[in-house]
Amino acid sequence: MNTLRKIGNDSEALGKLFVLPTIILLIFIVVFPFFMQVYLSITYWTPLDGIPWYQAYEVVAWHDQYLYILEDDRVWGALWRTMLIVFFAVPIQFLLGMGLAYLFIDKFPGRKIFYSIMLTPMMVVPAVVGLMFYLLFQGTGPVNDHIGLPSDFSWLTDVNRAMITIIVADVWQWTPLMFLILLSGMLGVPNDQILAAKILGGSDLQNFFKIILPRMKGVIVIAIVLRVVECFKIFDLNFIMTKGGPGVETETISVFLYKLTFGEFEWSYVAAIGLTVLIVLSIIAAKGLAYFAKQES
Amino acid sequence: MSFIQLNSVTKNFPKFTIGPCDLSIEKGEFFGIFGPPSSGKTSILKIILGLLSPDSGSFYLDNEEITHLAAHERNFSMVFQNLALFPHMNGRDNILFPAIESNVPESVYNERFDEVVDVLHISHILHKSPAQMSGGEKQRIALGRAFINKSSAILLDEPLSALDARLREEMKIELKRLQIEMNQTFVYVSHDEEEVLSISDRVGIMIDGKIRQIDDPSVVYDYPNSADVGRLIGSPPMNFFPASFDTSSKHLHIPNLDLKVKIERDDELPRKLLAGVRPEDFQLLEVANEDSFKSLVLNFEPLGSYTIVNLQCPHSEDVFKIRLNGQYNFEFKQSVDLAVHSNKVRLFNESEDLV
Amino acid sequence: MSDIHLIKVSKFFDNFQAVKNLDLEIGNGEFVALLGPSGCGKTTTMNMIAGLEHPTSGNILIDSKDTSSIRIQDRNIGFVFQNYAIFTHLTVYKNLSYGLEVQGYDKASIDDKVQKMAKRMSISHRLDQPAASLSVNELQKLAIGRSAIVEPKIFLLDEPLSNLDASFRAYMRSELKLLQREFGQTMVYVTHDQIEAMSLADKIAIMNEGSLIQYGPPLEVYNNPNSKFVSYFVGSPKINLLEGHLIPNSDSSSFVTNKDLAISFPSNEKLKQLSNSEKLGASIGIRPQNIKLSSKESDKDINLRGQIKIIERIGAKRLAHVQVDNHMITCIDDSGTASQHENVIMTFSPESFFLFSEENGNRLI
Repeated sequence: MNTLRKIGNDSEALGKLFVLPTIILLIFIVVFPFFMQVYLSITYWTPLDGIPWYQAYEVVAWHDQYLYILEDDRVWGALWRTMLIVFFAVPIQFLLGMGLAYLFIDKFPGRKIFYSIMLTPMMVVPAVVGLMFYLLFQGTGPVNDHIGLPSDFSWLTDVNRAMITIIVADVWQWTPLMFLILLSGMLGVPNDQILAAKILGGSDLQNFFKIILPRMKGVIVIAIVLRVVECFKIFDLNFIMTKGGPGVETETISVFLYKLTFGEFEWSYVAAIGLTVLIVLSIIAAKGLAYFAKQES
Repeated sequence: MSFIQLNSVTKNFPKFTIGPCDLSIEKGEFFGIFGPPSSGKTSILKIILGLLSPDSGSFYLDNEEITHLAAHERNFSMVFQNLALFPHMNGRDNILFPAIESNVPESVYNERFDEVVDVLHISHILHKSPAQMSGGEKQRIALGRAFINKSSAILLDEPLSALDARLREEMKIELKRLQIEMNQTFVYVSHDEEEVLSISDRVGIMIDGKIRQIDDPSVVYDYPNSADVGRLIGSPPMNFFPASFDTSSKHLHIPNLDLKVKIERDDELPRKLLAGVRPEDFQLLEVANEDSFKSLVLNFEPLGSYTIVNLQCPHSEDVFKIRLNGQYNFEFKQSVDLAVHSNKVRLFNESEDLV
Repeated sequence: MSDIHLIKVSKFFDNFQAVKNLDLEIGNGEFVALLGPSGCGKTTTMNMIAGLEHPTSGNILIDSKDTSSIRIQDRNIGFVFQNYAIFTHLTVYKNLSYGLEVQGYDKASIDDKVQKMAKRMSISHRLDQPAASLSVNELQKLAIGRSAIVEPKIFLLDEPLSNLDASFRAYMRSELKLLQREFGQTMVYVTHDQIEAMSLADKIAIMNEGSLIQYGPPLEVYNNPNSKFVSYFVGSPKINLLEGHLIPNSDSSSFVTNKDLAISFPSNEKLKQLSNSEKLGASIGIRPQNIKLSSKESDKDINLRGQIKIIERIGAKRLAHVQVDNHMITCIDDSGTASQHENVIMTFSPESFFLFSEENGNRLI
């Protein structure tokens, strides 16, 4: 009892005690699997080898798997397609989110209701979103119907157009997140500075670019980094809508790794690829956050 | 030793040092601390309260040293600038909070409560929540909360700054009345010089972390010990003019005003001086005489019972202010004749101390 | 340059009426102070002139044009917010140049005007620094400079000096006065500090609870308050107010306060007019300056006996707060010799007090 009372009075010790359960959890869920992944990535091990994973040192490969990545066309293809999706989807949802957020700055009747409606897409389970767009983009589906295209005009099975459907689905699902983050950034701009700018004669557009946008730099970076990192990992949408097809046309890095893992059981190779992707994304995120921290100071 | 005694107390901050400060506050005294913003006065209060620990020096309360005693053991009450009333409690609960928290028996605090409510005239607002109270009412509840436990002293940090100007004047007198009636020691900090000087028994002037003068407000007002202090005291504050003294003729020469004043002083005065004259010590003359000088009116402020006039020095770009009783009307650039009595001129030497 | 007319302007916020049927005329080039306690509607009124709020009913005309259809951007008004609303992400230079930039001035003119204004406001040395690094006093000057640089017809200031420490406030009062003379704009100034209003304004509009109570030059409002509220709110030190009943008679009237203090005085013409020998609920207002401390009673003046409870120093002057029966009455101690607990006699002339009606607060005498 005395120790408990002592800890109760010492706020530092108390803090450490509160964090302990989370740390233990993190070690099991993150730290241990991470080291496991690093370990496997320097071997040739697959579950088909017959030896348990911790004996993978018997089939050590050192940097071989990593070298193989450099030559593997499939890896590069998947990376390219992933980047294509990110390159289109993120800017589009950013601009849409920004535009919508701007509309929501001032109060208007029904604002609260519209706000809730705006957020729904991102609350839907990604797999369900995938299924939704799968159905929408069928040749005989509602999209073709409403645009007035014939039922043999295919989207999901067309080599060129399949990518478009994925991008549309991602934009639909994640624009609300951009909207949310950017709106909070906009509302963080002190209102009387906006009024002061208006009184000085600034039009709404001028004030937006000179007052609102500059003050949102940190928030913008956060929103973009968040979505770039998440979009890079895109899986549910394309897996459900096209299974990565037609062929490999919409095979992103995540879908590719999925197939490698559960189709070909190349677990150590997957480990190596996964680690590489992790490092690249971490660098992007770190740079982004460093920039944000600099803005905030 | 005084009731509250600070000896050579210093506190170091990254860009600023407070002290060494010596402060003696008598029991039952209304002691004011005045200084410009960032002069360290709130920090001194925090050191007294115990929220900050001095880096050197000692602090005595009633002859007992409490330099490093924890804040909640010191038995001081504090009224904060933003009052910090508990928004979820009504007036009565706010006031009783300290008593209940420190386990004072109910019979004791009830009696004290009645006394406090009576003195503060707040029986009609005890049931209200802070959100329903006006500024002045909240102020009284905050005071009630500070009074409920018999503390050694009550520390007040700019308690009136959140109030409207007119209300501030009324509450200022209320505070003084309370202090006298409850026979309590008050340590009152403010950046409003008029407020502090008007109701304090003694006042300490803090500039840049040091206490420059401690005295009766009238003495500080009439005889600031340095030009720094003189510049802070008075509405408007003292005017300063470069001056020189001719020992043979005993004349003080103020070139900017083109004025020579005969000074009756036997001691040695330095040649180069700074002359300080209060705005109210100038006289407006109907006709010029041999001791007067001329000035041009730039503008004037009609304040009802008195008028403040901004004038141009006849021989420099400088502007000075005078204060006249009564109501006047002037034209822009009107020429007026002014005089000043020699015993109203305060002289300061080169390091700006009073001579 | 512009004049401002408010015609029967009212403003409701849900069920709360912030401004009630306000009629106000501000002449071209005038410096008008909107004075009143917190919540009296003065800031709302000014916001409506600026276009930040719209009147629920009534009209606001600037230069004889109705403003209801004019956007904020097009009103050509300068506005200094209470907390300055400086663009903290920009430099001092960029803050000053903002208004000129958005109105399309060329770079050379902008630079010229910015340099001049910075010099005028004594902040030239801070031009390239981030505005966020300025002290409160410098922010104030920047806020004024930023609004003034676009040469607006009308200048609105919302309690601009309230954040400043007392000594800088006094300095800025003179500065503002000089500025207004220099630029010659119509200025509207919101404050709760009557000293500020008196010292700066050509005319003071006193408001309380959404209504305009009195409007006139400072000394007019001070010497001839039209109501109890105005006499209470304007004037330093604060006026003494005694509430009670007047019993007018043809020769000598008397006044009995609610706390049973009785005063009698010879009836003048106005008092005689009030007399129908009925008790009249009223208040007497006497300024402390009109009450003298005396060593003996006076024959022609009204005498009060009491004990000094508190001595208050105001600069060189001393105010004595005297307890007379159950009243606290303030008077000036000219001699400077009065002391606490001293028993004193206070005298004042019956010509020097105001009489206000109990019913509506209006001035009777």
